[in-house]
Amino acid sequence: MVNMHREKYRFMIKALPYLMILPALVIYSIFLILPVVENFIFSLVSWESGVYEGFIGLTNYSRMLLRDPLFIESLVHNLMWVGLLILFPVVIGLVIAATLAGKIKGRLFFSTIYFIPYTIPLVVASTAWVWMYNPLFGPVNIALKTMGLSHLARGWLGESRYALLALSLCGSWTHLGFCVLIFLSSLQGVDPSLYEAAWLDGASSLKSFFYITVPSLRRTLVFIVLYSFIVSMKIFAIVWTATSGGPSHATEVIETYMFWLYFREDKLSYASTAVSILTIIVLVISAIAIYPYRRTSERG
Amino acid sequence: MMRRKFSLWLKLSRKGVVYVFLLIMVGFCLFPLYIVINTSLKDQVEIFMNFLALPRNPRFYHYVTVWIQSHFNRFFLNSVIISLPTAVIATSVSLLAAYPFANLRFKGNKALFLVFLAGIMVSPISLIIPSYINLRFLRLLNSYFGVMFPLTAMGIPFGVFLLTIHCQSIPKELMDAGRIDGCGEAAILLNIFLPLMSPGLKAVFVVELLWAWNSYIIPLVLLQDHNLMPLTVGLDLFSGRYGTEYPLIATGATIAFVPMIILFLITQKSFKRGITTGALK
Repeated sequence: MVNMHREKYRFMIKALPYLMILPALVIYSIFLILPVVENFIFSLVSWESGVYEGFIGLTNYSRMLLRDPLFIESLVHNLMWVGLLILFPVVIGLVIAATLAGKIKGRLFFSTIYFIPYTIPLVVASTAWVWMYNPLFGPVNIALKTMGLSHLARGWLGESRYALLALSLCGSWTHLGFCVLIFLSSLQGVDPSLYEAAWLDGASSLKSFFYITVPSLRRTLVFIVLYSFIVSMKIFAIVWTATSGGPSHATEVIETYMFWLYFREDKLSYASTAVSILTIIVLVISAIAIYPYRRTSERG
Repeated sequence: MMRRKFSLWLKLSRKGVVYVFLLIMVGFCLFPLYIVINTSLKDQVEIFMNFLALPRNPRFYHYVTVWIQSHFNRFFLNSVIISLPTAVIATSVSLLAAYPFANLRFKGNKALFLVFLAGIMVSPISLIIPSYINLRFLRLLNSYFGVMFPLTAMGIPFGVFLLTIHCQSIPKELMDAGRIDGCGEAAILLNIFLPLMSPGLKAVFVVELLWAWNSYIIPLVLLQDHNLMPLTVGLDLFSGRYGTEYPLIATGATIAFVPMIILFLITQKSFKRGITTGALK
């Protein structure tokens, strides 16, 4: 009798981890993994305008990658977003955080205020910035005019050359506070005696920034850059609400292109191809970025 | 003497420049929000006269109009109905999963963790076509549950990730001490583990709530009934219909974002600590 109980007990102990993970795994699998897999499956068949025609393999992919200039343009715009979202929020975020890490009064106040744009819905951010960029009475143009730079004032979101750039400022604005927060907490873990030693050796602040601050932040930098990359792939709401893809596709990104393909042109499998390519890109890049750090957190 | 004064002046002006820079960035961050709130308190006429200035007589009646006539009370309620349970379920389910990932040894620990981690990278856009089809099949389209499940699923990866990190940062010795003192497993969980996890849990809950509240794409696609739409979608719909009524749109937008700012300001300490712990993994 005692043996039978012990067997059941051992089994329960062994099954416990799986049982605890199960609820999360179930919801996650059905409502996230399954759709992603379905996307891939849909991309391998022909299913346009409600007409299902069966398996066509990688035809959609070759069509999209090789013979679809609009897709390539969207992809390029995505890459521009990545670059801009890494350039502005990460660099300026780092500078701000480095500043705040020093002897600054009101550090909490500043870091909190900078974080506020991160908490608002992207739809609201987009609307606010559309107003900022209003050619007639938007603050951006008004500021330029008062500074005597009225030749720079233009219809930002209405011109193909500048629409994407203008929108990316909105994206950077939402993302900046997050970068500041992460960098600040990382910087506060850096040993201050390193800075003292450098100061005694006569290093200027700029030098100590590059030779002490940046290397200590290496891991955090990788994380932030990767996270900024992921964020730049999730900016659908901003683009869609502001310009729906821009003056003649100037702000089109893969997400909006896919949205248009499905909801306006009813090309289900072709749209799924776009999204699958996006997912593959994100997963591959993330895997490459994380690979050097794979030994770190897991136990057991 | 002059040199000392000069270097002191230099030091002070450098500090001054730094503060000016920081304050400019404060202005940069808050200005667009100021514009939105400001516009909501003005009349259409006043807006065109001077867009940037504060209103002479702040008018709050837009809020009444938008709240009642434009059904923003409904949108607000829907936001709450959708995001609160989503946050609760996502957080609790993630906690359940995080404990074994952090503390228990089992086969597939690493692999499963990576599976969850990969979900952080996925964009919600990827889900909409299959979710639409799946939910239609499950008869959950155009319903609260239909939106809550995908949102929960999107929140789980980050929740599991963050909570696992938090679990790992709890020293095992504390729990072992409890075992040595003779507490049962359940008592250890309740009296040692959960209290230690509570800042992390709070942070994750707020993050999940924030994400669910601010979500746009998934409710947009999966809900057609206007009575079920949350604030983000409702605002978008409203802006589409009343494009040039700036005060009204501004009011709607303010209703949409102010609650989350308040929430953030209330919980900022644990919120910040929770997120940064995860980032410094």
